[in-house]
Amino acid sequence: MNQVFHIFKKEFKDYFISPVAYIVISIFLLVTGWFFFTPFFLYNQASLRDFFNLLPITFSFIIPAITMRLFSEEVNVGSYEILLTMPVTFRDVILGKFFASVVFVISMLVPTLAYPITVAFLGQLDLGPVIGGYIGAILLGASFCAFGLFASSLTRNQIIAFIIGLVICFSLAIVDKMLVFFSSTIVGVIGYLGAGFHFQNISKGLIDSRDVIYFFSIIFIGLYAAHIAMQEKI
Amino acid sequence: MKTKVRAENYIKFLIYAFVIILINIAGITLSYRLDLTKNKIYSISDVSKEVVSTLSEPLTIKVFFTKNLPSPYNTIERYLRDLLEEYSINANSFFNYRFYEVSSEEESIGKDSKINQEIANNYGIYPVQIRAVEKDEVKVKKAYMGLVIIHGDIIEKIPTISSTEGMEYKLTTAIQKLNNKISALLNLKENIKVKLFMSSSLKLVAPFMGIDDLPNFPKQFEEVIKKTNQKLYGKIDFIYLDPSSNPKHAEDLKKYNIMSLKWPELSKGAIAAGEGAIGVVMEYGKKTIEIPILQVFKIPLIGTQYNLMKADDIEEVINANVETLIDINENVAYLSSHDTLKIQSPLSFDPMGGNKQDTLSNFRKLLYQNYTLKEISLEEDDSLLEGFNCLMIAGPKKEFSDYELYQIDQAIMRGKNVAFFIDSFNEVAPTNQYYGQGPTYIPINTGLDKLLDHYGVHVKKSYVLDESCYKQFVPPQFGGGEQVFYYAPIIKNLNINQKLDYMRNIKGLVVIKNSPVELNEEIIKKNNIQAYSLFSSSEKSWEMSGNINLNPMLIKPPANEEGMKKMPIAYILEGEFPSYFAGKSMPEKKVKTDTSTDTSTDTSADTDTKSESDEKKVDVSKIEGKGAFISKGKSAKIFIIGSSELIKDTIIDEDGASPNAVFVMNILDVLNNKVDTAIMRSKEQSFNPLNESSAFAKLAIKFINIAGLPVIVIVFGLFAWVRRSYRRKHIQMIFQKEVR
Repeated sequence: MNQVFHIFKKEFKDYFISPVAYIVISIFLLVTGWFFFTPFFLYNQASLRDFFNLLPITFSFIIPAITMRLFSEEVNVGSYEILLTMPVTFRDVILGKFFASVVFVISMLVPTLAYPITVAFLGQLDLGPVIGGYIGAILLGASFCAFGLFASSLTRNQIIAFIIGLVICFSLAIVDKMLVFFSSTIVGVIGYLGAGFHFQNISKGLIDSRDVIYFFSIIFIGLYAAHIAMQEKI
Repeated sequence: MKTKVRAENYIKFLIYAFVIILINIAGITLSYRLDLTKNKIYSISDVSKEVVSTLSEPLTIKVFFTKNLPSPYNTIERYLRDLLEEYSINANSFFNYRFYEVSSEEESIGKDSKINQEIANNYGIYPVQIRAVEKDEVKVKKAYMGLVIIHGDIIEKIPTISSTEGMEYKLTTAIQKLNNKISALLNLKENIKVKLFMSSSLKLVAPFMGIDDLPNFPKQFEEVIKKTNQKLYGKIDFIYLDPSSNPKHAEDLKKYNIMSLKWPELSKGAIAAGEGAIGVVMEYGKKTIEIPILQVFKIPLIGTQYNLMKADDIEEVINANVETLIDINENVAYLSSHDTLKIQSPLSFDPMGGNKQDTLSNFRKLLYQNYTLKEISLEEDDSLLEGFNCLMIAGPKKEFSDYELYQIDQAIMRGKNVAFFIDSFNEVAPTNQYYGQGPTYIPINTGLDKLLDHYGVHVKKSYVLDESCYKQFVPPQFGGGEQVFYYAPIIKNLNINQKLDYMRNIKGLVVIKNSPVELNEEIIKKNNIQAYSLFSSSEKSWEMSGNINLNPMLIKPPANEEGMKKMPIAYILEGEFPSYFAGKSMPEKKVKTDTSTDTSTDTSADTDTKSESDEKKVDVSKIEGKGAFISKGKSAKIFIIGSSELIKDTIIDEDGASPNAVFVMNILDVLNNKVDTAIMRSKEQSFNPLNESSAFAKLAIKFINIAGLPVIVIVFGLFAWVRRSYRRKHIQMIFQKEVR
C-alpha cells in the first residue's frame, strides 16, 4: 500500500507541476459555469440540477484529457521500464495512478462548491441533492478515470488514448438517453449500463446501493482491463 | 508460456466480469436506499405507513408494466418497485404487490405475457401510446403502464402512470378510499337500487337512430350489474322498468328527469308515431343520481347522432356513483346560498368553448378525490351543522341575516372549521359596451364582517396591488411590450409562512383581486387565539380603495414608496372563539310566509326532499334553537382570504400540481384535521424560485461564477509556477556557488 501512496503522490504532484492542471480546471469551470449560470436566473429555480445534469458530458471530455498521459507518456518516454524495475506491482502502479486522477477530479470539483454556496444565498437550497450530486460526481469521475486509465494503457500515443477514453466515457454518459434507438429486448440492459442513468439517481439525493454497486463494478472492470493491457506490454 | 499467461488473464477477467454481473443482479433485488432530501421525497410518509400497517383485509396491488421501455418510462417502473417495496416493509401481513410483465399488442408475445395482457384488460388497464425507435424509425408504441389496487372485493385503478410525481399521494389516498368504501358498503342499511328505464317502443326505432344494439341493452346492462355486484358485496339491486308497458312509470320519468324521445311516423307508416324513454337512476335512501345512457349530438351537415353507453363504461360509471351515494369520503360543506360561487358548472358541453373564468370545475375535481361536497343552503337547510368538519363560504354576495350568522357562529362554537373566501367587491359588467368602459366595483356587505371582526380578523374594502405581479407579453400586433397586472400579485417564497408544516413546500403563489386581511391583535391576544399569517404581498404593494378601476393601463404604482407596505393576504386562526352572540338575544329565524319565493332558483335540489322539508319547516322553525346556545366553543380553525378567485379555474390547474392548487387542497386538509395528508401532498413540490435580486447582483454572481473561478485557478497556477521558478533558480544558484 505504501508503494501505491508513493505513486499516487508522485502522479498527483506531476499534475500540478505542469500548467496543464490549471488549464484543464479552468476550462472545466468555464464550461460548467457558463452553461449553468447563463440561463440560471431565467429558470429561476434554487437547485443545482442543471449543473449535475451537465457533468456526465463534461466529464467525458475532461477526464480522458486528465488520464491520457498516465501510461502513454511513460511508455513513450521510456520511464515505464524504469518503473517496472522498482519494487512495485502492476496493481500498485494502476491504483496509484487511478487515485491520483480521482483526487485530481475531486480538486477540480472543489471550486464548484461556490455554486451551491451562491444558490443557497439566493434561495432555499435543499442540501440533500447537492450532497448526493457531489457523491455521484466523485463516483462518476472515478469510473471515467478507470476507463481513461485503460485507454491510456492501450497506446503510447496520448491523442489516441484521449480519443479512446472519450469514446468510452461519452458512450457511458449518453447511452441511457439513446435507448429509443435500441431494440426493446435489450433496452433494459443497455439502460442499466449507462453511467448517466445511475448518476442522475444519486444526484437527486437518493443514495441507492444499486447505483453504488454499478459504479464500483465499472471502476473495477476499467482498472482490471488496464491491468491486463499493461501486462500485455511486457 | 506467454500465451498461457495471457489466456489465464482473459479467463480471470471473464470470471471477474461474471461475478460482477451476478453482484449487480443480486443488488437489484437486495437494495438499500438512503434518502438525503430534506422532505424525504423518496421515502414514504408517516400517513402512508399508517395506512398500510392498519389494513384489516387483504390488499393487493397489481402493476402492469411493459418491460424494457425507453427513458423516461424505465425510471417509472424502478420508482414504482422501490415505492411498493417501501410500502411492503411498513405494511402488515395483508399487503401484497405483484408486477406483471405485459408486452404491447403488436409484438409477438409469449404465453405468459398474453395471459397478463388479458388480466390487464379485464381490470380495465389498456395500453397507452409512447414514442419509441424501432428499425431506424420513430414509432408510436403501445405500452402498459397502469396498476390496480384490490382490497376485499373492490378494485381501484390508476390506468396510466406517466410520471412518478405525486405517486405516493395517489396510492395512499386510493388505499384510504378503498378502506372507507369497504366499511361503508358493509354498513349499508339497505341495498342501492339501480333502475334502468327503457321503453320497449324504442326497440323499433333504434335501427333508424343507428343504435342496433338497443334491444339487447337491458340484458347487457344486467350482466354488467351482476359482475359489478360481485365486487360490491351484493349491495346492488337491479330493476328494469319499461314505461311503455306500464304507464305508472310515467311519473317516475318526470321525477328523475329521464330522457324521452318522440318520433313521427317512420318508414312509410311501418312504424307508427310514438315516444319512449331511456335512462338509469341510482337510488339509495333519499339520494338519487340520474345517469344519461343515451347521448344525443347534433352535428352540422350530418344531423342528429345517437350514442349508447358502452358496456365497458357502465361498470366504471356505476362504481363512481356508488361512491357518491354512500359517501365514502369525508364531507365538506359548501354554502350554496347567498350567491356564492356555483360549485356545479352549468353544462359540460359548450359548443362555443364557453367562458370558463368563473367555473370551479378543477377545484371540484381535485376536491372529489378525497372529499364529498355537500351543498348546503342557510336559507333552507337548518341541519347545516352536522356531518362535516369543514364549511366553505366562497364569494358570498347576499347579506346574511342575524339568524344565518348565528348558525355559522354556532358551527364554529361546535368546533367546525370554516374557510372564508370573501370578496369585498362585486364586479358588475357595463350594461352598454362603450369603448373603454370597464366594469364597476360595488362593495359587498354580507354582514360576515361583524362576525369576523368579533373573532379578531377583518377583510378590508380595498384591493392589494403589488409590483411583484403577473406580467404578460403583448404580441407585436397589439403594440408589443409588457402588460403589468398589479392586481394579480405573485407571492414570493420570502412572503410565505414556511414555519407551518403544510406550507413548507409552497414556494410561490399567485392571487387575483385580493383584499388585505387585518388582524386585531388585541382581540386575538385577549381570546388566546393562535393566528398564523399564511402569506403576504411584497414590500412594494399598496392598496386601491374607494373608486376601483382595475384597468391595467390606468394603474400606476405610487410615486412615493412610503405608501407601500407588506400586507397579509391570508390567515389561519385557531383556538376557542367566543361567540358573537354571547350576551345578545338569540336572533329570530325568519318564517317563510310566501313559499314561492326563492325556491325557483334552486333547481338542483331533489323535488321530493324539498316538498317534504317544506312541510316540516314551518313546525321546525318554531321549536328549534332553544337552549342550545354555546357562548365559547371547542377549538376550531378559521381560514380567511380576501378573494374567492383562489379556487377558480383561472388559478387552479386541472392536475392539481401547481403550488396554488396544492395550497388550496392543503388548507382543506388542514381544516379537515388531516395535516399529515397535506404534508404528503406538498412534499414533492419542485417549484422552488430564487429570492428577488437586483440586476447588478445577478450580473456580479454570473461574472464571479463563470469567469471569476477560472481566473482564481489561473492566478493560483501562476503563483505556483512563479514559486517553482524561484525554487529552481535558488537551487541553481546554490549549485553555481558550489561550482565556483
